[in-house]
Amino acid sequence: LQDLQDLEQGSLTKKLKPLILILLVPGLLLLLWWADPGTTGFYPRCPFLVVTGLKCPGCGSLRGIHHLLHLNLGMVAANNFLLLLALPYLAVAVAIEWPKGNRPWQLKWRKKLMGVKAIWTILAIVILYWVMRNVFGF
Amino acid sequence: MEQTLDGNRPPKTWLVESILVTILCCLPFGIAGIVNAAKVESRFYSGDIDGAQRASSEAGKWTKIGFWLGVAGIVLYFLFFVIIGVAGFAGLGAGLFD
Repeated sequence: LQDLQDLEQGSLTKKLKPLILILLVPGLLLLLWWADPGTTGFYPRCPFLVVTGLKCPGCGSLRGIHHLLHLNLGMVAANNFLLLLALPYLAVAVAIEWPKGNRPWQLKWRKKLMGVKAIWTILAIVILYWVMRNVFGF
Repeated sequence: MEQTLDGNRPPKTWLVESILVTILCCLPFGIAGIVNAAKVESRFYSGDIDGAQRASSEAGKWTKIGFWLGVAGIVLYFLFFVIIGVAGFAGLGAGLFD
């Protein structure tokens, strides 16, 4: 792990990082919009699913993003309900955290929505979803 | 102690990034990030600023490892197809001149 961190500090990787992100993220989104992972065998499969035969909480998120990009929310929910649940929460969280400074509304809402209780709740939801989707097969 | 904490934000918890890593890529690293995010919050509001800082860098570490493993996985995956494609093409070319 130390090696990985040392690697991160290298100047070459520092220059490469933004480039990788700028090329990779829109490229992947375009690919996901264009080719449905549900009908094309081109995408990688979840390693956890391949090894254990069980779904992880992230399984179906690629298919989910495909349907999200086509604004088909029902299909997002069908493929990965957690993704649909997480997106509005993450948007609100970013809106609270993004503005610099410590305005009273920021402190109040980040404590409510991103405080200890909220974080343990999130973890519980992730684990519950993990168990439930394997028990009931969704 | 509460007074000095009032009006201040805890160090970065990496919560949003951890959740994204959990759902989109690397579950174990994402969960390690989420657990450390909780530690940042609880330590900060109980007055343990140093501990919160440590948990924050732990959360950042796991989240970043998960994220870059994901990126590396994607790049290697596509590279694999490119190599297969090039090898196939070269094989076809070689076959023509047999």
